[in-house]
Amino acid sequence: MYLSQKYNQTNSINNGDFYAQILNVKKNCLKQRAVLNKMSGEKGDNMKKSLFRIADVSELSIAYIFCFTINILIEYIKTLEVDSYILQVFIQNFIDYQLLIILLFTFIVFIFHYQMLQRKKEEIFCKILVGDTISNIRIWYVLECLIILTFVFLLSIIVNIYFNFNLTNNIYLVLVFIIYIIVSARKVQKHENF
Amino acid sequence: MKIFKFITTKIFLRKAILGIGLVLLLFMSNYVTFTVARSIISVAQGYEETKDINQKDTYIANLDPNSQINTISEDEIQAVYDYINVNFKYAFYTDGFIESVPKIDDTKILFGYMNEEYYNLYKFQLSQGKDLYFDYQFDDEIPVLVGEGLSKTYPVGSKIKIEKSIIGQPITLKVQGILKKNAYHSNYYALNSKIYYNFSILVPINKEFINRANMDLKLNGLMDLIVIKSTRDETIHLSNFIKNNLGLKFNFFSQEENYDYFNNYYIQSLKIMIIITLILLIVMTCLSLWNALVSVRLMLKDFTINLLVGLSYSKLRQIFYSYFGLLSFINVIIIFIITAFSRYGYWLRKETNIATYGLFGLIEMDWLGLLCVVILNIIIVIIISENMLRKIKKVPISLGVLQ
Repeated sequence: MYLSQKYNQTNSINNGDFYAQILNVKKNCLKQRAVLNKMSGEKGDNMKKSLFRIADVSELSIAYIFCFTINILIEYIKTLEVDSYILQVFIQNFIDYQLLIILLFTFIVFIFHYQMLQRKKEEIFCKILVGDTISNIRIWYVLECLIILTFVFLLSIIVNIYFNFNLTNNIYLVLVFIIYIIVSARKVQKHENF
Repeated sequence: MKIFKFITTKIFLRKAILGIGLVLLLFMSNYVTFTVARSIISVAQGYEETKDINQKDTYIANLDPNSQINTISEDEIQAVYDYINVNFKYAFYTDGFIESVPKIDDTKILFGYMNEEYYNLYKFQLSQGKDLYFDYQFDDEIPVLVGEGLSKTYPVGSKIKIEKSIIGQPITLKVQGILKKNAYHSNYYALNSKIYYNFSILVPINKEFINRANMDLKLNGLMDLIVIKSTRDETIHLSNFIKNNLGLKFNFFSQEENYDYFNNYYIQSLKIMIIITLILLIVMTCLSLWNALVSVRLMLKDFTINLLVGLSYSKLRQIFYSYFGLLSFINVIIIFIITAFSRYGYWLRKETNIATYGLFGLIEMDWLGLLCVVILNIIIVIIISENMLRKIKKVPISLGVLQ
C-alpha cells in the first residue's frame, strides 16, 4: 500500500507541476539546439537532423541483417545433402516451418522500433517545440528506415542470387518490415504531446 | 506478493510488447531443445534395445542398397529357408502386417511374427498373462501377445478368429498375455523411429508356419534375419547362397561392425545436432538478453522510483526471478499442450503404430524432454535477471529518477 501510494504521489507531483516541467523541458531543448548548432556549424535551423544516431543505425542494420541471414541459412541448409536419417528429420523441422521462423524473428525489429520511439519521446517533443512539424519528423523517420532496409535488402538479394536461392521469402520479409515502419511512424504521431 | 503484482501490472505489463518478445524467443529456444532432447532419448532407447540382439557371434542381415529386387518365386525362397533351417540357428522377426480383426472396426491392427529364438533374445515384458509357447498345432489355438490397447476387447484367455491369415487358412488366436504399456520396437537402421505395440498382436511362429506362409512374410523376414551363434565364413556362404538363388546381395554384420556403424553414423549426427542446437541457444539467449536490457532502458525510471521509496535490490531481484520464472513456466505449459495434442492426434487419426498411453498424454521421453527445457529456462532466467539487476545497479538512483 505504502509503495503504490508513493508511486501515485510522484505521478501527481508530475501533473501538478506541469508548467514548471514544460519550462524545464524547453530549457533542455534549447540546450540541445545549441549543442546541435555547434555540431553542425550553422546558426540556422537543424530541422533536418534525424532521430537516428549512429548507434541506432547500427542496431537497426544488425536487426535487419540478422533476419535476412536466418533466411539465407535455412535456404542453404535446404541445398545440403544429408545422409543421416536423424539429422534429416531434425533439419526438416526447420525447413517445414521456414516462413514461420523468419516471421517470428522479425519481432526483434518490431521491438527495436518500439524501444527507439519510446526513448526518442523527449527528442520529438523538443523538435516540435523548436519549430519542426510532426509530418516532417515522420517522413524523415520513414525515409531513414527505408534507406537502411533497402541497403540490407539489396545485400541480401545479391547473396541470394549468387547462391541461386529462392527470392520469395526476402520479399515477404521486406513487406513485413515496411508494415512495421508504417505502424511505428503512426506512433510518432502520439508523441506530439509529451 | 503485493509488490510483485504491483510491479508486474504497473511496470512490466505497461510495455507488454517486450514481454511478448521474450515469450516468443523463449518458446523458440524451448521448442528446439525439446525436440533435440527427445531425439537423443529416443536414439538411446533404440540403442538399449538393440544391445539385447546385437550379441557376440550374432550376425544381422542387411539387404545391400545396390541390390535390386527382381521377381522371386516361391520355390526359390523356400530353398533359401530350407538351407537356413539346416545350417543355422536364427531369430526371425517381422512386423508391419495389417489385418482387420473382429470386434475392432476402423482400426488397423498390426501383426508381428517372431520365432522362438527371437522371443528368447528379446524378453518381452508382460503386464498380465503367461509366456508364449511355440509348439502349437495349426487347427488348435495359437497363443499370442496383444498390446494394451486391445486388452479391453480381448483380455487374457479370449479368442480371436482370423479368416484371412498369412498362411492362407483361417486361424484362431488365443490371447496368452498382454504386453506392458507402450512396449516398442525400434527400427535397426533408424533407432529413433519406433513403432509402439499398443495396438499390435504378436504371433509366435515356427518352421512349419514359415513354410506355409506367403511370399510377403518370407521375404520380409529374410530382410531382418538375425543369425545367431555363427561365424563370418558361414555367413559368407549364406550370403552367396542367397545371391545365387534370389539374385539379392545380403550383407551380414557382426556385433563389432554394428557398433562401429552406430558410432560413425549416430554419434556423429547427434554431435552435429547438439552443436547446431547450442549455437541456436546461444543466439536466442543473446537476443533475450538484448530484450531484457532494452526493457531496463525503458523502465529504468519506474524501477529507480521504486528503489527510491524503499524497494531493496534483493527484493527487486526476487521480483525479476518470479516474473521471468512465470514467463518461462507459461512456455513450458505451451510446449506441454502442443505435445499432448500431437499425441492425442495420433489416437484421433487411429495411427495405431504410434498411439501411446502416458501420464496426461505424455510418455517418458516427453517428460524427460520437458525436464531439459525447465533446466534451460532456469539458466536463461538467471542470466537475464542478474544482467538486468547489474544494469540497474550501475545507474545511481537520483539519476534514474530524473530521467
